[in-house]
Amino acid sequence: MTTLSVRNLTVSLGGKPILRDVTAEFAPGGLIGLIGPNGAGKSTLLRAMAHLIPHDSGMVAMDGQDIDGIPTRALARKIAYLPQGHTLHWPLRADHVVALGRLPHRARPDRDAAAVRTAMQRADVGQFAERIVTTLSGGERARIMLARALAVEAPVLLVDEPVASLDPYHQLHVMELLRELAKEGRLVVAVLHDLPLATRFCDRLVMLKDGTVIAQGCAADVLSRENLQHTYSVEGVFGRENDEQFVLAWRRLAAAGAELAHV
Amino acid sequence: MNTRSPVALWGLLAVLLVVVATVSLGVGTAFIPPARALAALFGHGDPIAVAIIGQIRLPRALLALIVGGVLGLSGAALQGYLRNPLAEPSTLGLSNSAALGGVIALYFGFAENSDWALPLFAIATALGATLVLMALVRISDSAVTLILGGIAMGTLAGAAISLALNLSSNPFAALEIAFWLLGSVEDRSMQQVWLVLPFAAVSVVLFLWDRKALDALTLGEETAKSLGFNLRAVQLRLMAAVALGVGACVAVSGSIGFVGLVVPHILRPLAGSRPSRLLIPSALAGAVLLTAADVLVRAVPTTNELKLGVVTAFLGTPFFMHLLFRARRPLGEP
Repeated sequence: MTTLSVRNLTVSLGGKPILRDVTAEFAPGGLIGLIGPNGAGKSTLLRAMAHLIPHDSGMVAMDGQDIDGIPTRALARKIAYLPQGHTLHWPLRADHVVALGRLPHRARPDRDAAAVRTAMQRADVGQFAERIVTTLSGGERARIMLARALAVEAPVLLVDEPVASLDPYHQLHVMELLRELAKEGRLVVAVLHDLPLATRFCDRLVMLKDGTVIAQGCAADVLSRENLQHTYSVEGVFGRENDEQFVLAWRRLAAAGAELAHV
Repeated sequence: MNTRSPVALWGLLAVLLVVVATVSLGVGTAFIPPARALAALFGHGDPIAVAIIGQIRLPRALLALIVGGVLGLSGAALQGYLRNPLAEPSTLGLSNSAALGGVIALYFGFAENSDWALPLFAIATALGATLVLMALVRISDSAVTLILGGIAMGTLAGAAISLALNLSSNPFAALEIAFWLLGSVEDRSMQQVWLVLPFAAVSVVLFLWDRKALDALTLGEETAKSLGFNLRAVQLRLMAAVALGVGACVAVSGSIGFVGLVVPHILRPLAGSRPSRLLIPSALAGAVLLTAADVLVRAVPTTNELKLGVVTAFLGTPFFMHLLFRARRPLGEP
């Protein structure tokens, strides 16, 4: 079981402060959602946790050890990272793209082939194995990229907007998969914009606004009426289906609407 | 096609290479049939044939092979690293920059004092140009910026070369520089082979070292980093590889364009687009292409022997245009 601790983390990009004194604990056991409006610093926090950008102060620790001190290759075997979008510069076959997830490991053909197969099955893209990725749809590509991150078989999975370009069926499939991975003991942190999916599938939410943590805890506490108003400037609709709670962003607050109308 | 059996493609290209290299040993003012050429290569048979092969044809064939191999490999590696199907030493201005170093060594007479001056100057200027390009890549991700930067540097180096020719007080020296620039492996000796070989060998090792990083970069820099690659170190090794390889090749053969650009494009339909899978085939195919072109310049009856750089440009450009027209889609896609 691997944990990540973010302690008093401050990150600036291009001289602009993006994260300010962020402290949060990320422990396995359930799916963790990172939510907040555009520009809140969610992706920056995820990238800092994956050791992809430098920080001004504070630290990110893995099982108590500062990740700055962990060799790059060893860290790559511990943390799988899936960025937003699905950049692919050359038209590669889907299974070759997924196999890139094995690069942090010492090559073992049988083991690698099994990992690629399992990852593709779990992301429901096994049928595209021999297709050239650039000929696939946006949603299919997104799932290939998720399979690529799964193929790393890392104890930590950090995913940035994994359902953004998926149809409802596959949104549910990917969220179920992420929750399943978390239940298996991996630390899974997902940046999400979809509040109904976040409330339904995440066991814990961390809410960011303007680079600081506004709230963290269970979905019911974090996505309160007040937090929705304060963080997103929206009014929510709260509902329940089969004992599972969901929240919908229903109406922009008058103030935010007035500002927009003014613009 | 064939993406599952890279070794079959390597084998095919290796056989082709042996065939063209053998033909290359036989072709020239005095034609020597392949069997006799091979016997002469090992010191057997007619002493005149042994002398021709050992002192004239072998260095020439080896240089075409080495230079073609390094140029093909540089093209494939640069295209992979920059994720740009237009990248290669000459479109990025690196061949011209290396040539400028060579011209400086020739113009100021450094080349007369030491055999190492020409390659070292060519390597130094190629390294300088590579540094500028890499700095440009850090500022802007745009492929257009990079190509424009390459064109600018190539043009500047070309202008400086023209200036040297313009100011040259000795017309014979100017002619010597102009002919050297056209690119050729004619009248070379084993000395030049030994000169280029260590640089080419280090360059090949450095290029192959980062083959997996090139694959990872297919997913973008951030993901490549998350897969455990130190991209700064990759960039440094690649810069050194291009400067050493292209600099040394330009020093012994002048400026030969289009090999690095065309070869990876010919191979993608056969080997797939994975950058690591293109490296060795590109080296082999570059060697085949340049050796074959060098056979052609000797086989075509002309008053002055055709220059290799002229032939590669004449053959390479229409072929490349053909690829562009036939593809009807962005280059690099299957």
